[in-house]
Amino acid sequence: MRLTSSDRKISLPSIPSASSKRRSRLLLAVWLLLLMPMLLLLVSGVYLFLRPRVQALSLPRLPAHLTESDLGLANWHEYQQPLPPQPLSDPHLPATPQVDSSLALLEDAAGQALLTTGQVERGLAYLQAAAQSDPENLRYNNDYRVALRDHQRYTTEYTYFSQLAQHTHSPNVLIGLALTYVDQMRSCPTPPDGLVCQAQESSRSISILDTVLAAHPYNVVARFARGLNHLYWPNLMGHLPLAQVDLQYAVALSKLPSAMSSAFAPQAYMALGDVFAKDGQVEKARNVWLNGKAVVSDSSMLDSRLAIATNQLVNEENGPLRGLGVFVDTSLAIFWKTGR
Amino acid sequence: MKQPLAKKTSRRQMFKQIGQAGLGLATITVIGLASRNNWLESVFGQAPSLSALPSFRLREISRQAKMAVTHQKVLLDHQIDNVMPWMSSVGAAVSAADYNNDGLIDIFVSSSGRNAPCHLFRNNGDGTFTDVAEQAGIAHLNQEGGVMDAVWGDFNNDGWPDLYIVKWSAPNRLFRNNGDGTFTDITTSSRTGYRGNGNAAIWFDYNGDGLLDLYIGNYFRPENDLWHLHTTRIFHNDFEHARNGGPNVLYRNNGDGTFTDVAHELGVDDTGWTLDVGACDLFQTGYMDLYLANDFGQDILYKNNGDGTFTNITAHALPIDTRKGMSVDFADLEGDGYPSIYVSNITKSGYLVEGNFLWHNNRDGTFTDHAPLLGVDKAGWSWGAKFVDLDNDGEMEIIVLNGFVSAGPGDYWFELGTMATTPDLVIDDARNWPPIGDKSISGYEQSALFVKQDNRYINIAEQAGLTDLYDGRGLCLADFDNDGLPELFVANQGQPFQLYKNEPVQRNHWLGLRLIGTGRSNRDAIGARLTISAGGRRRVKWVDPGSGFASQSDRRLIFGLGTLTHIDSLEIRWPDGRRETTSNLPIDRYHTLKEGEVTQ
Repeated sequence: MRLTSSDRKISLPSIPSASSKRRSRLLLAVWLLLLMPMLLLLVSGVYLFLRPRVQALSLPRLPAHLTESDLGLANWHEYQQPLPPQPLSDPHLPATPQVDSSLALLEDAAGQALLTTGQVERGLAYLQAAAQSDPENLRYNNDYRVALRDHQRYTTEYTYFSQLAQHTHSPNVLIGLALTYVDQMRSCPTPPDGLVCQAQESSRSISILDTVLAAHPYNVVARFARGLNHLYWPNLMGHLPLAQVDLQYAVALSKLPSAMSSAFAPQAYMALGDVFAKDGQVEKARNVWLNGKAVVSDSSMLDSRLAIATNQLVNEENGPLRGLGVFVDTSLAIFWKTGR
Repeated sequence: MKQPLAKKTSRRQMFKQIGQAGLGLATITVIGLASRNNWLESVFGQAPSLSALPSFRLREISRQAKMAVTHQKVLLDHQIDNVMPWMSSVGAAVSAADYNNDGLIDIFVSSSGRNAPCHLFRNNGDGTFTDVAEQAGIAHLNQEGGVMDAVWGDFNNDGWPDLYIVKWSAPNRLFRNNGDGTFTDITTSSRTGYRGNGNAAIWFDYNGDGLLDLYIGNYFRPENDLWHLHTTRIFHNDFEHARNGGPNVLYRNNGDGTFTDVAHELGVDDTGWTLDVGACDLFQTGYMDLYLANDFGQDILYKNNGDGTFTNITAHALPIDTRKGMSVDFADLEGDGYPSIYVSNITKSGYLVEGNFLWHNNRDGTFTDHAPLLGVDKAGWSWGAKFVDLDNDGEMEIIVLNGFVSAGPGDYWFELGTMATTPDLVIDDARNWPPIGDKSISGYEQSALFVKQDNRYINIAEQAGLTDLYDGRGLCLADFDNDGLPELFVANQGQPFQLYKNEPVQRNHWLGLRLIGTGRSNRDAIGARLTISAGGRRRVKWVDPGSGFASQSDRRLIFGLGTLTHIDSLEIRWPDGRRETTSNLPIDRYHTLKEGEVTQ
């Protein structure tokens, strides 16, 4: 029987010839060629969505065995003592302010209570007595200074701390004086006016903190205060790298086991992130804040930073986020207060 | 070898599906990436639509107009070589007037370098100008000191504009117009040769006697001869509150060809570092109030009491101002007869972002800065700044010249910022300033041209062709070809002057007015208020005394009418208080209106 070619096509099993094998390979190659970029895109897309969002921060290495004194945290437990609940009705409260270290906490509480009732002069007098009873005590100094600041008594504030610094060159006293200069910035004209005035006060503050940190490089309060000072300067004045160093130290120091309040760590992370945000390095900024969240997961201030759209972070120099003319809250209570 | 069709189709479909899948995947990936990085917002975010903007172009024609000259800078005492670029950064001034009464606006243009000639460009009426300063006798003004400003004013009411020249470290000069194309120096006989270091002057009739008086804004103190210094302590003593500048001068016109300095007597001898002076009736009193744009601190506002005296109302009227006032101009943006004030200051991103002021007139004697709200605050290191309706649509544009020192690639801002923010540095001593050398300071900045779009302004300088990077100083707006559209003459510091022809795509209607005061009004009618009602809207303008840094613009007023083909009324309140109204004025042309002959 002879088979016709058409019969052959229909009935014979298809045996791949050499040329059809080449065609198959070619087809496979084309397939692979087409699929590869798509696979690459898929993989990169998956990577982008699944890659670790938090990258480790580059922080300065700290010496082992730093003491609480090195950190400026000596006597920290005293700062964390709760205020007496009813100071004004406390029988131990003297009728007139007394410079007596055993009464300092009570007088500090009384001063604050009096201020809340509108008795400014008496309140300030008790706060001053508490501060004078222990000039080294950061808490009493802070409470008195902040009260003066809040009542626009900038001259009194400066006079008190500058006179104190003439007699005592301890870090805590100098930190108080340095922050006085920052408070004085509020007496400058409202920004964008008064920027030179503000910058000069900041310069004065920085130079005092330079002195403190030259002798006590791991003093976390001084580091944070100087870092914030640098952070608010106009970008091109070259202070951002200095702010970055100080605030990296502040973050590193906040991670040490110490008596420091947990309220401080988010502040340190937030400020360090702000350095990058102000410099336009948005992803780095977010990474710092995410690192902060990994340490203090329920920090609302870090949440609020992370909620800012990245395109709004790009030009923050003149904005409300560490922009020119934004006033800093110089209260140091974040180092010992409870809560976040 | 041919493939069976079905197989071929299915492969095509497969390729197509793979392609589509790939495209989809790529799209998803790109969108994912974009959303992570906020590219979408940045790309599609808030790009301004330009469709609604006025469509005009500015074309530079100084060469065709035969005005292609370059300003020469001063070179001062070598003791202050370290800051010479700073010191020699002013002097390019321009002042417009029809000095020969041929109906065409001419301009005086300064040069400041030693023995460098100044220029009087006579308008030939054919698009060209001829420098006739030599023949006119006002070319050689730099043999001693240096020319800083010039202002035209008919102080003797003879119908011919006279010229006052403000100089550094040499007596100012007053030239009387002889009416024959020449001028006579009457400085000595008129007693107007104040020897100081001024940068500004205006002619205005402060006391309502019908005679133009002269207010001069001074900068460095008068005892400092900047060419022969006895001390290098010549600068401002504070970057924000300096009050140690040269006292300003007010020459009262005695009506007999002489003047008397009454600034101290009237309490207007301000010692701020005045860079510009402007005057306008800010409170609808009928009298011109004074605004001083002061460098390194508070601008000053003197209210004219209407009895020949002034009251310094700065503390009440203005917020604290530590900025670097350079130029002042006025315009009624709301048609209520209360002018707003535009003041140029400094904006340098990364160093000093002050922003220019647009003082909104609150009609209660106070002003509020609306510049940030309207988007006209940030321009650069700003100098001459003027309101102008370039396309006669009835809305004011704002032009701002920018740029301080355009030199080498280095930037002096860091040194300047460091010096300014170093506490307790004696900054008034020039020797304490770091050497500037060949560095630039806010150099190569483009001008800004703000046009109104909805409730804000946007800068369209680039689109309009205002693209040069010269260090602009004096800005003169004048309709040189009488076509109802103002041209721009820009006096650039140490650089070529420029003339920009204004070429709008859409030709709107307009009404041009030249006023002649009589009776108790000064003949130039400086201070007259004109109110036009047209199409249910009021427009108010004043005859200007020479406001604007180192400049004086065309004193004629042009009202842009848009598509309106007639006005309902024109009211003129003349400087002496007389009011006249008319309604029957053909549009698209200039009218000369003489006081007492307007009302129909």
